[in-house]
Parts: sequence; structure tokens; C-alpha cells
Amino acid sequence: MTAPLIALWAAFSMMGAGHFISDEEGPLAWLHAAVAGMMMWGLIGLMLGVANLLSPSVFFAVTAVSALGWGKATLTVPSRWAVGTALLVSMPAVLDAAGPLTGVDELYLHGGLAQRMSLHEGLVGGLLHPNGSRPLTLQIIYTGLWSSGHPSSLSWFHWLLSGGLMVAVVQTGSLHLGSRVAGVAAATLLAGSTTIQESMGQAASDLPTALAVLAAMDACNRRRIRSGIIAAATAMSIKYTSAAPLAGIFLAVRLPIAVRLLAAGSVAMLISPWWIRNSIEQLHPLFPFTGWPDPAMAFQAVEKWGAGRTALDFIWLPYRSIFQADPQTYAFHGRLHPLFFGCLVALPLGLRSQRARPWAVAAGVGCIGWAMGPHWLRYAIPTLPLLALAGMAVIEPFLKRRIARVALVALLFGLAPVGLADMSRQLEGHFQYLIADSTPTDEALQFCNTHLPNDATVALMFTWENAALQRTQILGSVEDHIPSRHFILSHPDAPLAALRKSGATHVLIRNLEFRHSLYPTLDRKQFEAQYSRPVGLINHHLLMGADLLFSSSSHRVYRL
Amino acid sequence: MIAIALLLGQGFASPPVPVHGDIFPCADHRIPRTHEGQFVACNSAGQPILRIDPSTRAIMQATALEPITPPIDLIPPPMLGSAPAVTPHGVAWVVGSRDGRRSLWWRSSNGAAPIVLETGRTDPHHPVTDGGHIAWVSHERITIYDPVSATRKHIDAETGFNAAPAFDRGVVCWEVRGPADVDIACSDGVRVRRDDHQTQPVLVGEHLFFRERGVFWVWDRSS
Repeated sequence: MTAPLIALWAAFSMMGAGHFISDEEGPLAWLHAAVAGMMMWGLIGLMLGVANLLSPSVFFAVTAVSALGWGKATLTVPSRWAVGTALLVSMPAVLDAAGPLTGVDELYLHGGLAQRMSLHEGLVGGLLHPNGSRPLTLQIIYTGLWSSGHPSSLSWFHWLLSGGLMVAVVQTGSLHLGSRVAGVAAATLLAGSTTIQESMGQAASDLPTALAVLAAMDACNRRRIRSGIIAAATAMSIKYTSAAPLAGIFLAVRLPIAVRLLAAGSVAMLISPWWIRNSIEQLHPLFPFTGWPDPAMAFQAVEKWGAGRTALDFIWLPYRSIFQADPQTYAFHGRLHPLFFGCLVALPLGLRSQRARPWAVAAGVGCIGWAMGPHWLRYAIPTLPLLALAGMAVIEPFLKRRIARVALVALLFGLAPVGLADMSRQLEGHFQYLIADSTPTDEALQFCNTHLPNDATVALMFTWENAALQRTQILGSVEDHIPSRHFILSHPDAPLAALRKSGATHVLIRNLEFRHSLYPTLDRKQFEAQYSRPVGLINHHLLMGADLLFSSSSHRVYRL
Repeated sequence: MIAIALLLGQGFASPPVPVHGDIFPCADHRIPRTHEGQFVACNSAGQPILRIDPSTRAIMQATALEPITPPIDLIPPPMLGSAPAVTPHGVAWVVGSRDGRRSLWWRSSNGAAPIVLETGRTDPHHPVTDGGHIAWVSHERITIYDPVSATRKHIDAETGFNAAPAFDRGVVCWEVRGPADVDIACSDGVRVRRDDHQTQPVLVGEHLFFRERGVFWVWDRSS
């Protein structure tokens, strides 16, 4: 019970901080308070992190001071419809939020970074902690929550933000589309997707990004440029995948060119502290997504995901990404409600309606941006609320008829089992973890947590489970294990000496073999050089220069 | 014979051969290995489901396997992932500590309280048995312990960095790091020195099995 209360207190005080600087009023003022608070906490956290002051007591002090922001004025409480819908569609994810951290992203990135920064009481970054060099607005907050000693407070906090998104979607339907039914239907459409449901209960970043994107859309659509800038900057400082829908928003809303340029400059200025931090640390401002020093490496092999990247594949992409996506495969890595296909088809129709046009343009640009990246459906999450609302904006004139509403409800619920493929299996898993209050941790991690000295520094190679390792750590994984591959190929003759020089005393390495078939754009020689060679090199050097302490079926632990 | 064996891989009369043509590298680095007198190996999919008879080298079984180490009720408890060496005279096992050191414990089958055979200072580990004696690795040596007479014999060997030594009928074989790769040396003077790494030695009578490039090889020492 402590974890959700901690998360609730954090969300409450974060909104207090945002409310203090926001000049928004009206039904969605709470949304702008939450988004502005997030950005404010991110920037405060950046300063505290640089000063190595990310301690539990400082986090509590920040929350206490932030809560004073509520003294300004009360906020309008969202309607019962909005809150009720959000509660209803978010309820299944409680099973996941209440249990231990289990998702790959929450283990290696959100929980993993929070663990590292909490241990350091400061920021981490650079080639030894590449994940820490991205903008960390949300992860800074997760760090504070992690330091409370209740890791599930991260997922509870995320659950609250996800619920907030659903509230905002319903309210947006009423405010911008003039139809509460449209808002409720859009929220139901989102919640009828495995991609959304599986994310809700985890400590993640896609749904909070979507929350900020929606706030930007709301603000810009009302010509509230200041709030739009704050929301856009917040979204970008959580996840760069928001760039496309945000570009769509600023393109869709009729504004003078000068105002658009000013807005873009202001957004960049608000994100720039993160870029400046990277530059000071002699990294590319956008590291780790680009700018890897020699040997130069691509952050992502985008061709690895989806169903191909030929012109014909892109034509088929809308259909395939919705009807051929299997949550248990890595092709699209999720599943959307089939009605999203209807929303995509309806986008051109939206251009004819003044009310629907901004939503159609913003969603359309967001979808195009998504198609340019790796075709993981969760990368589309920042755009999905816009897409759902765009679809509803198109059909809204028909929703005045009872038969149309009945048909919509029938389609939403009738097709939900298709959109929620794999959810029953996932919920069963979450329930089991919740009952056991633990996950089947790999034995190698148990070994590290039990038998390595407390002052050990573990280099994580090709492994994701940072958050489960209770020791100081370096490296770890992201996208095709680029941190490990880059480190090894940077020191091909003496990787162990380089690891020792970096402070590592032990290595936790996953047994791994890359498959050439997953990298169709690389010829055999390129594949060997970039993927097979680093694995072979480190295995050889570990055999020749380190002591194997433990071996499980998937991992090994070495003493350097 | 020993002189020839020293040149193994460089014109040896009867060179090592793969144990079986249908064995493939495993993702699990612990395999191939021995289990209950048989070899566990992987099929073409990398699944550890093959059992091979060491004498006939025929595939005996192709089903899922039981857990590697059967739990033994030992106090203090064995270090996670370590395998106890069980003899008719007692059992030796490794105990880990919070500071990362390992110590070797012995519980006699006569019911006496467990004792420490070697402390953590020398980092003893990898206890193995040939059925009567116990052998283990510690700092720059292998110790052979006779539980009946409580006497010890030492062999200078810098090993124990990867796999446990092989121990059968008084002969010990162990991994040794050469200038370019890992080879196998034995207490009777035999040394397996070939290109690439030779690791995880297993002795079964005159047969020395080892792992090379993920698959099991065998050398008939009597040939």
C-alpha cells in the first residue's frame, strides 16, 4: 500500500509545481499542471543530479516545496465521465503496477537508470552509461521514487499518468470535438489495444509522452502557445519519438510563421540543458541516439523490425501493422484495436472538416514519423491519442444518431478481443508475480546479489536486467546491445584491462549469438565485424584473463 | 606414448575426434557436460536434450533433462551454482561469503560435524572426486585429499578460471592458459595443445573428453 501512496504524493506535488507556473484555467488545467510540473522537476533534477544531490531527503524536500504550488488556486476537477472511463480502462493494469518490475524497458532503462542514479545520488552518462545521456525528465522522477525503497512506486506513478491520459482524452473529446461520446470512444479505442494495456502498468515513458503531446495539442488548438511550448518541450525531453506528432501539431494549427519559429526555438531552448550537458561531457548533443565515437555505430537497426521497408512494404504498412501484428513476436511488438485502421483511413476525410483537420494533420504527420523509424507499435503511442481523436472527429457528426452510437459501441467492444490479443496471458503472468511478490530472477543475478562484495562494480554485457542487480554497475544494454559492442570494439586487444580501468571488478555477461538473418541490410562481413566479432572477442578475453565464478543457462559471472 | 601425447594435434597417431556428429554448440555455456555418467549435449537447435553414452558414444536419449545439481542438505549451504563432490567417505562443497571469498567444507559420512578443508584466503573451489579422493583448485595449485588418511598432495597448476578439473583413477586433468589459447594438461604429463580453446576436461578411464568450439571432442589416451 505504501508504493501507490508514494506515487500519489509524487503526482500530487508534481502537479502543484506545475500549477504554480502554469497560467492555464478550465477543465484541462490539471493536465497542463501535470505536464509543466514534470518539465520543472526534470530541470530541477538535472541541476540536483549535476550537483550529486539526488538523495531521498532532497527528493522529499522537492516534493514538499512543490506541493505548496497548490496554494495558488484550486483546479477544476474532471468530470465523472472522464474519471470513471479512465478508472475503468486502466483497472486491468493495476495487476502489473502493483507487482514487481518485470518489463524489459523498466528493468534496463527506467528502473535501471533510477537504480544507478539513486546509488550515485547523481546523474550517470557517457559511454559507460549511455542510457543516462538522453534527456531524463521522467527518469529523474523515477529516481526519486526509487530512492523511497519501493520500486513499484515507479509503475504506480506511471499508471497514474496513464490514467491521466485517459481522462484527458475523454475531456478533449468534449472540449475540442464537442462530443463526450467521441472522447469516451477514443479512450476505449486506446484501451482496447494490447500495446496500450501492457504499457500502462509498467514504469515506461510512451504514455507520459503521449500525455504531454496531447497537452500540446490542446494548448495549440486553443492558441495557448506558452502552454503548447511547455508541453512540447516536456514531451521531447521524455522521448524523442514525440517529435513527429509535435511537428504535426505545429503544422496543423494555424499560426503565423514567426510564432511557429518562436515556438520551435523555445521548445529547443527548454530541452537544451540536456544537450548542453552532453556537449560538456564531450558527447554529441543527441547521444546515445547518434554520435557514437569510433568505431561509429548505428544506434538502431530499423530494418530489423516491422514487415519490410520497400515502397510496397510501406504501402501495406498501415494494414500490416494493425492486422498482422503479433504481440508475441518482435515484428511490430504489440497489437492495436482494429478500429485504428478505420482511423487511418478516415484521416483524409478529416482534412475536409475544420474541426477535424488539425487532429487529422497532427496524427497523419505522427504516423509518417513513426513509419520512418523502427515499426514498434509502442513508438506510435505518442501519436495514438491524436489518431483516435482524429478518427472520432471524422465520425462525430454521425454520433448524434443513436444507431451510429450503437454501431460504434458494438465495433469497439466486438473487436476488442482482437485488439487485446495476448492480454489474458499477460494478466495471468502479472497476477502470478503479484501473488509471489517476485519474478523468476535469473540465478546469475541471484548469485551477484548474494556473493559479490558490496563494493563490487559489475560490467553488464549484453544483458538487460540492470534494475535487478543490487551493485554498482556500468554498461548494460540498449538497442542491439550497442554499449557492450562499442566498448569491446573500442578496446579489441585488451577489453578486460579497459573494463578494470573503468572501475569494473566483475562482469555479468549474457550468452548471446546474433543472427545474421535479422540484419538483412548488412553483408556477412559487416555483420561479422559489428555483431559476431565483439561477442567472440569478449568471450576469448574472459576465458584468457578472468575467473568464471558462476554460470546459469543464460548468463555468466566473472571476476576480473 | 606421453611424448607423442605432448604433440597432440601436431601429428599425433590417433587425434581427437568429435564425440558425435549430431552434437552442436549450446547457448548454455555449461554444456556439454557430464551428468550421471552420461554426456549432456545439444541438438542442432542448441537445445540441451541429448544424452550420450561415453563408452559407446551413442545418443541414448533425446528428452528434457532434470536440473543440473541435485539439492543436497548441507550446512552451511553450498554456494549458488557450485557442485558438491560426493564420495562414500563424505562430501566436499564450496561455501561463498559476502566478501566474495570461497571456502571449502567437508562433512564426513561418519556423522562428524562439518569442517573447513581450506579457508577463503586461497580461494578454494571446484571440488571433484574420482570416487575415493577429493581434488580441488586453489591459488596456483590443485590439492588431492585422501579422506581416509586425511593426507593431502599438491600439484602446481594455475587453473580453476573456467571449469573444474577432471579427476579419475588418480589422474587429474585441468585447463591451462597458454600464450594464445586454453589447453588441457594432466597430472600424468599429457597435454592437449591444439588451435583454439580446449576446455572442460572430463576423464572416463582412458578417454579424455573436452570442449572445443562448443562441441565435445574425445581422445583415446590408450591409442
